[in-house]
Amino acid sequence: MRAVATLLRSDRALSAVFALLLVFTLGTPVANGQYPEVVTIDSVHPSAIALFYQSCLGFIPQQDVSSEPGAQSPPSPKLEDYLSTELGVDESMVRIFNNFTTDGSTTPPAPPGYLRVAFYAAVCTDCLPLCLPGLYAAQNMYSAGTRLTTKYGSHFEFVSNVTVVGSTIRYSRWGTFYYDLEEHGRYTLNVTNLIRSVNGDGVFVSVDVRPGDSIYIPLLIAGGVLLGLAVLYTVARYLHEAMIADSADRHAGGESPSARLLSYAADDDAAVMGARGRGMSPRASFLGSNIHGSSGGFDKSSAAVSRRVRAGIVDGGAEHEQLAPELQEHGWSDSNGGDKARQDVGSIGLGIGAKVKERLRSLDTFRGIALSIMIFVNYGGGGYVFFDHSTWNGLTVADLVFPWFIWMMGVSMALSMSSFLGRGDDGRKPSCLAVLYKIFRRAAILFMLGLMVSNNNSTLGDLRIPGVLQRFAISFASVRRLHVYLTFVRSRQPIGVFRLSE
Amino acid sequence: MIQVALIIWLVPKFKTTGMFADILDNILEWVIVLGLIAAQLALTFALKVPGCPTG
Repeated sequence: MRAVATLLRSDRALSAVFALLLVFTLGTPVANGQYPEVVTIDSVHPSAIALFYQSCLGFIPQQDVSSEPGAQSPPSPKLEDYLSTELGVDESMVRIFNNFTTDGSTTPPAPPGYLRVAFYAAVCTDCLPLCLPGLYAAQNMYSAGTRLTTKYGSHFEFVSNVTVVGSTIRYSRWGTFYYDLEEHGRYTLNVTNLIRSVNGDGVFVSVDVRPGDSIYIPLLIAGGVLLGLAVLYTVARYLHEAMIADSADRHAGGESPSARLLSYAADDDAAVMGARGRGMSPRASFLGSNIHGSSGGFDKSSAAVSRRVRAGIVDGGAEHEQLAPELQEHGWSDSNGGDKARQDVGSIGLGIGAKVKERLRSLDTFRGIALSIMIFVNYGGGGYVFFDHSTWNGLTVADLVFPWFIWMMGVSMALSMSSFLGRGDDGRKPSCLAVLYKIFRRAAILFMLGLMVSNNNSTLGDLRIPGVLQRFAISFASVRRLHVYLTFVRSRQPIGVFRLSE
Repeated sequence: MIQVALIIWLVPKFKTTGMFADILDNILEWVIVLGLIAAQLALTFALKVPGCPTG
């Protein structure tokens, strides 16, 4: 045991472990594979066949394609091309150095120097790789190099003996290689033989890198600026309210301003409570479920409380710290204000009374964030891959905006339920038809807006009906109707209360 | 039908108290909406359309 412990502690053991790890990681790029692997891809789409043929067989004179009329000689490699090619956004320069040889003992035998590099963006699952002319190099030569996108990880395959018969592609694969390219980076893939093993000849790739740019710096700066603005705003508001408190004190002949500020700072919670007294959580109205509301309207005592809380900034002291929860208990359980403004789905009417239109600030904040991201995405998203919609599979931030809005619509729906079923202006419960009319009117408006937005340049013949707002309309109409209906079912009142006649 | 009736009958008993009061408050909606989602997933992943992969 002691020997093992000593060994483990010694540097030699550590390096041995690392060496073993290295051997294992480098020596097994293809599990259980015999090089070259013969890859057969069946029933490929004709257009893909054409692309593949053109890219992999169209340019290299070779035994099996030498009779082809379209075959051209490979581009001559130039170092200047590799070094001085202008690179745009999300572009990198890649070339290979071909130092790969085979002794011809493999089956099928590889013609030396005919190694080609096929590529696909790794985000494209099981895609057909396409050969890149700029990555073709004769034996012991550099290739000309090619511009590759850095948006996604890059998947390289080293292939030879490519044949295309009908819709079937067959080639020998000597290895695969994955790499995350960086913007404006210049890479040389040194392709050599894998250490000879029972697996036969495989390729081993090492990479020379001229490092690229860090593309996240603009994003970090933007985030820092926004964060700074948020901090600045908070501090400014804090000081502003301290000034109000100061002037109030001066009128009342109270303490000195600085002492006031100090006590204000010490009494942080109370201050925040006082400042935000009106933006309480809607918990009470969530759980209260008194949509058919027993209490008739606005409670007088909570009005007084809220007035005191709002005045609390001036009053000072810890008094409102105790009053605020009281406000929460009283003011928010009421949901029968019948405020017309609260019938709006967007504005979540949670008013204490009819006069103060309250909003759920957390939801508004979230809505603001989602809106900002949506606008950012719609104007390009800075070219970042996660601010763009995923091409086919995967999920990006941009893909989340729509679900966020749907979720917010649901939350608003639950919160504004009371206004939908609450008493109308005449103080009576709305009829079934009135409620349905409201629901479908809103859905129809949303649907029409969606049609206008998504078909701004098309005729009636090629009108595209589904769209984002249309989906909002459909889900809104169905879920809202469900919610309204089940609220009545749940209340165990006969549906007749819904007064179809009215 | 029986299940729905059972839910309607049971839910008020747990409604105001208990650990899952906020869920049970709207249990019928949960059931229906989850059913809709299940239907959509079933259509997406199980419906065999000639010439198309599922999912």
